Amino acid sequence: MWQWLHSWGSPKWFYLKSGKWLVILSIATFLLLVPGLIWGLFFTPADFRQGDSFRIIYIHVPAAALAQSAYVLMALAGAVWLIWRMKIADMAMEVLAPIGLLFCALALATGAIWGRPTWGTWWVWDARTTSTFLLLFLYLGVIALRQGLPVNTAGRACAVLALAGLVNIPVIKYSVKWWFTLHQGDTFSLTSAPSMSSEMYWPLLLTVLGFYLLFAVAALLAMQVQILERERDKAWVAELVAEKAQQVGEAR
Amino acid sequence: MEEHGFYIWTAYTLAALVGLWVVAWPVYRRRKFFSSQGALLKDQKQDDHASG
Repeated sequence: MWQWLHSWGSPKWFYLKSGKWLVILSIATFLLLVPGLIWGLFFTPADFRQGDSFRIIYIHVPAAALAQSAYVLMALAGAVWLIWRMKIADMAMEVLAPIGLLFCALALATGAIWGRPTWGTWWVWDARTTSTFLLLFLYLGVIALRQGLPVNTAGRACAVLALAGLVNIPVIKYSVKWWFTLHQGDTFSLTSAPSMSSEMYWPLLLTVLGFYLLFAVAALLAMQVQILERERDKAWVAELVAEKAQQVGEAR
Repeated sequence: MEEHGFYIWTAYTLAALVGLWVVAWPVYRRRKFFSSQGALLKDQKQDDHASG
């Protein structure tokens, strides 16, 4: 088991193995996301209070969950980098930050779009929205450190910031319990029974799983690019490039 | 969906753009990497051939 996990630490191994996983994950993403979104958009009944605007939860909830999960993953990669100096962990930190940032921005934007018809305003400085807004700046901070610092120190600085910012994740999660907030309580929980009817819950489950798979596909693709760019001087990458060039030549 | 159509479709369009971007951008960069490195390899081979 450990040996198998350790082998994923090798950039070459990661690149070659992830290619096979990408096909399976892409198919699974399509099979979950498309039916989930169509079901949620067209076939679930409108909410008796929110009307049709509740359908935005089928993208808002998965995007918000992913924004937090991507951050936790990035911080874990930071810890691995600080402790074991595995190159793959540093690469993971670098690719997860922009993907997490995009999902965080999507969660905030769709929350604002949902808030306008439901709350009557685009934005409130509520505990949940403010802590998610802070998450956006943590992502921006990690990206800025990566861009602004020399290569030999950027990894450590990003890892420290990612780990320090981890304290914000339970704040986001429990903000609706710790403070009196306008934001509603948890829509989706893995540990308790759903608070919504099954007609609304099942498409949400599909879109949440579909978004996680989409994230896995995006992260693996970005990791492949990162590996190629950082290992461009290695013999195995040169062989891969020659192989691809030959394939292109044969196709012509 | 006529009631909040504008809000719903704006949110779903944004989600589609993000979804497309996170997949299309690394695919484009990977293709670009292979084409630029492939071109370098070709140049190198031609140089080697020219210098005998």
